[in-house]
Amino acid sequence: MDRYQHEYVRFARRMLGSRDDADEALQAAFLRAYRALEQCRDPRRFGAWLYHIVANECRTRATRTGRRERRFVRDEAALERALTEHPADDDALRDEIQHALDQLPDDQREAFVLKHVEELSYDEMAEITGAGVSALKMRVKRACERLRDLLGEKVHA
Amino acid sequence: MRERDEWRARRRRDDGDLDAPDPALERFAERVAAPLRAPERADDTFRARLMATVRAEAELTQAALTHATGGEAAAGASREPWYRRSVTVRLTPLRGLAAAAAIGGVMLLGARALERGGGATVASPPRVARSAPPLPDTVRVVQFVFVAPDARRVALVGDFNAWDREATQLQRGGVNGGVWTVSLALPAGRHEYAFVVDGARWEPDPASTDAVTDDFGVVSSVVSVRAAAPRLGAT
Repeated sequence: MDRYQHEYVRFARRMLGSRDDADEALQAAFLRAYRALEQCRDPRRFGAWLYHIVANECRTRATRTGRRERRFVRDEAALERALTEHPADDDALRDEIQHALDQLPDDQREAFVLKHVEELSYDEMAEITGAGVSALKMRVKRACERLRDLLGEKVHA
Repeated sequence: MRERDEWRARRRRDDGDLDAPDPALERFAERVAAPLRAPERADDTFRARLMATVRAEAELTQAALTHATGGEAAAGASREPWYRRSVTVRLTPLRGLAAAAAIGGVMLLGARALERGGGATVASPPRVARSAPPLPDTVRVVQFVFVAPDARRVALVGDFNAWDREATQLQRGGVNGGVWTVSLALPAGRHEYAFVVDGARWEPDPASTDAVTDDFGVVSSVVSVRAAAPRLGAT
């Protein structure tokens, strides 16, 4: 569990947009995994099995909290500074992208994060989400298009 | 059939070819995703809180089992293999004395047989073992070396530091500053590890001959730390 914890933390935070929500989701997911440990029939697949549980928990919580008020306060000046000075390192840019990510439908956000942030293959994503490869490709494509609309010229291709 | 083919072709045109994604969109996705790949760490108390919850749950489960009815306990016992079942034997005082004498007799005969050399697999502990250190050394210092001239930082992760990317940083050295090293005291046993370059790139140890691949195809290296041989002659 320790071995994959950092990936899970990042995935949960990108999915839920909040440290506290991600923390709660991971606690719940790990506890569920502990209770269901006997159902993991192949120890070599433990990582994928646990990822599946974490993704399910995040999806459930994202749906539950999806209509909550957004936590981000836009600061256009800070964003402009971030984009022109240190685009890859600045927290403002990351917050802005996370803000856009939060506005995606849950299934598209999940697909985008797994594909482009966690850099998993479509086969791995299919195993984790239970969705087909074609559907996942479509979700990723739709997510990219929507993000391009939301972020516009702020992130240049 | 023709209508369906036309519908599919139209849909492909609308969606684009999913197997050959738009390069501009891919570049955009990469640009968006790069900042999101920054490492994230769980709160320092995360593990402790999780383990406390798990322990509490285990205790509750144990308590529930303890309060189970005798009938259920008996049913559970009957599912155990014969050699793990507990057996209650009731004896009269006279039969108890006879059984004790019989067991004592068997033990005496067994001990005499061993003294005659009949027990090749059972031996008295050699006298030297009492004067030897009670435990062999179980920790060895292992030096990890990784060559990466262009890296800004290199971390060592493994089962010995809970795969924590912040726990063990290598120090830059060497003639051109491209050799990264760190020395760690590791307990005897088999340890899986890898290097993380610049906080993101996972690299197995090129110098290691033993490696494992996890279920996502990520390769980690393996180091086997051998316990020091016990110094039997030491006094």
